[in-house]
Amino acid sequence: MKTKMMMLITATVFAMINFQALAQEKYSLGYKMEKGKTYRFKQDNKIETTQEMGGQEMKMTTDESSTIKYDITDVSPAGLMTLIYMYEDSKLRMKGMGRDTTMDMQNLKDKKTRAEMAKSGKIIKETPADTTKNAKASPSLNMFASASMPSLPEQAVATGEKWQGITSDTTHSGDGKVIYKKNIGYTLSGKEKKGAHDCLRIDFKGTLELSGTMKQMGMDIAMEGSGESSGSFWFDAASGIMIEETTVTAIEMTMAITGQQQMTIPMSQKVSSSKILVE
Amino acid sequence: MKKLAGRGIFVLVIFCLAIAGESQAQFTSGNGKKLITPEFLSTQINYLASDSMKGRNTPSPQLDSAAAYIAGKFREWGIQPWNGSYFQEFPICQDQLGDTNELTVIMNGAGFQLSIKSDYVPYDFSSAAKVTAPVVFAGYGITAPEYNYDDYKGIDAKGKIVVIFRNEPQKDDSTSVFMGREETKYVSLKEKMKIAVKHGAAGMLVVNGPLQYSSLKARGSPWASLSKIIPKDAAPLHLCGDSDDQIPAMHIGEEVVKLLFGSVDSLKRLEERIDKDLSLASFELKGVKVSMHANILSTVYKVRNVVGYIPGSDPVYGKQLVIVGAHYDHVGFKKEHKTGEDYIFNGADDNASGTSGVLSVAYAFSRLKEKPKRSMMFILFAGEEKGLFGSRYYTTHPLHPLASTVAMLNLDMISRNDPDSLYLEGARQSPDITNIIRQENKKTKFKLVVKDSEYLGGSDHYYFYKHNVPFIFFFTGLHKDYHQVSDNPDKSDCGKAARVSRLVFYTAGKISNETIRYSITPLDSDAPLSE
Repeated sequence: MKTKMMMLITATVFAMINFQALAQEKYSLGYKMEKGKTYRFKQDNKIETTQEMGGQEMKMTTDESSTIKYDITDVSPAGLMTLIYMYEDSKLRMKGMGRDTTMDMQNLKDKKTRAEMAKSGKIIKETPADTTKNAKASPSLNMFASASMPSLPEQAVATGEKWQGITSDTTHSGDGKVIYKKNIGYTLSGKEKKGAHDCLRIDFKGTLELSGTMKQMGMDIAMEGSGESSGSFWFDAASGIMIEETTVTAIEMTMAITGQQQMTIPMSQKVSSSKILVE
Repeated sequence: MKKLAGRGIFVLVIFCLAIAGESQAQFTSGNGKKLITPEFLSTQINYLASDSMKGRNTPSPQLDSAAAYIAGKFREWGIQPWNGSYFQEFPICQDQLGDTNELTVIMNGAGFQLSIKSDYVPYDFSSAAKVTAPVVFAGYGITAPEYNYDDYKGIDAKGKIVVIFRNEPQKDDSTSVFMGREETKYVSLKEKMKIAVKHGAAGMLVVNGPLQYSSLKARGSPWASLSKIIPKDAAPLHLCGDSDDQIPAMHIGEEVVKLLFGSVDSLKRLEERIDKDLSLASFELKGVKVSMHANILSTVYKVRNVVGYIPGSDPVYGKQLVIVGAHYDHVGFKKEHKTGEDYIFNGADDNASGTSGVLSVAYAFSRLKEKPKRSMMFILFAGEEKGLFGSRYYTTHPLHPLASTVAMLNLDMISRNDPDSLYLEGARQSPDITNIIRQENKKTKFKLVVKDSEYLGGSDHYYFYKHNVPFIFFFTGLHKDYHQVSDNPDKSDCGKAARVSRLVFYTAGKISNETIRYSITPLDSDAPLSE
């Protein structure tokens, strides 16, 4: 009886090991954008904002459409990429509160930011690359105006395996700064074709927090908020580039204004966004 | 010489008659030019927008000083107070959350005490009160006869606490009577509170519908004591007691939902039932009571409108009133600033210019030998920048009945931009007064620009319009110094401000000597502008 049990255990363990071996095709993932090359991403954001003041809800929908260019200026032997990114165009349409306005965001256009990006997608450093205003000058777009890409794991991963990406992005605006912290769990879900690219589909879900202060027009603005973000991105592991990303983010925040006005404004935002490699 | 002397005397007599005639005719361009001068405007603007006034914030000692200055001018010129006072005092409040808030669900005698912030948060429009009462679920809390919809049908909410959804049913259904993606007034929580009060409810708990909202988190209003980042002075000011329809109101979260409804899914099913075909899902929660205490503490500040009065000369039409008004407050100064930095929002154009304009018109009226038929009231409002408080208070507590107030002329920002252009807001709503202005403008020759309701809610005329008082808003347009520390007196065009004030003087003079009443297109039924 004992022998039979041992055999059964041995067989089970053996089967499991074999199953793992067969199932586990491990991928070492890393961004490998090439020096001298230009990459363009089309980015679309639909932002549904609900503000509340004195029991009155006010809704606004913002559609933002941009093309972001990444010029890879250097790649170190360790794979650290130096790039310059800029908005080639950006259009906003804001609808709600009795207004329907379309804006060509000229203040964002052609403003260059230099960034150093690790193979994992982590932004090591970001600095304005020209003497004019930083591309991250518009607070409403700060959440999206970043060179950052979804986080990739340091170690090789197989289908079904998970990793965590914790990022903190600080944006300076109006004599203050806002810190966005993301804690995202990623899962390698499998292979999928996206256009001509053989991709790995990576699903993600996590939390984000923002807090900070700004000064504008003599007003001190403090903001805090938290929310959830989920979505998927498709990564071409062979060429080391993200092909597409779709994300839905829901965030609830409060703005407190002091100075020439006194206000507290609770806000909810639902942001549906996509970023697609076009070139 | 004798002949010459005689001729000279004749000329002198003619001249004197002309002067006398002018002071009798009263509202001639010569009279206006003589009494309302750029120097007069400059003196007032320089004083009101000086650094010593520290931006005339509401409330502030400097705002009180400005009020005293204006009242002093009225006194000096012989303009009367109203019922013995140049001031109409009113209270404004700033609310903070106290320490003794409570929400307890009592089921079959057992009490479940909930936690503030994680389970519930009071709203800032809640009354500061404590109530313990049975509970009814009242759907979206809407009674809308025009949509043949009533969440309160079949339930008795009297003396009970109502639990209601935020928003309105069929939110994304474009075929819905609730206008789908367009919002109706029933989205407003204040409107829901009014309806709850009408049905006799004693308290209101608001919940996010699980179908419409991804999060059931209780948010309520942002209170400084519940936040790491909200400073106490960010709490908005409001007119104290600005609503009679107040009961305790809180936003509740998931834990409270589970206690009241058993599960989030149960609540979701109720929402689905209503949203499917507007079926009613209201019911009383048997054996359940809620004890709620919204501990809201108000700090009360007293601020003042300044009022000057010239009684009309006609025994009949003297009972009718013409108001010329402006706000005298601005937005104060930056608390934190570097040494040597300009930190005061002087508000020379906004609205020392309008205030000075009203003072000049008041002064001109005070110099007239023959007073107009109708009575004149000059009002300088406080708290405009914080939410039109002064004019809102005046129109709900009028010193003279609004029904016999024939016109309100509002001056706000009258000293900037093209010297010849002048915006008129309200031309569409008050066509008769606009026609008078057009006639009187022959003396001042402005290029009149009629705005298409762009600034209808933007200044103190708004609440007069809401109360069907014919109005016109005189305005010379926005500029890069608007609400900046650079809105200084040296940038104000006092010549233009004087010219605008003269037009107001001629217009007010014409109106105050007429006997007809002027038309007003009520709010919500405006026709498109033709000009």
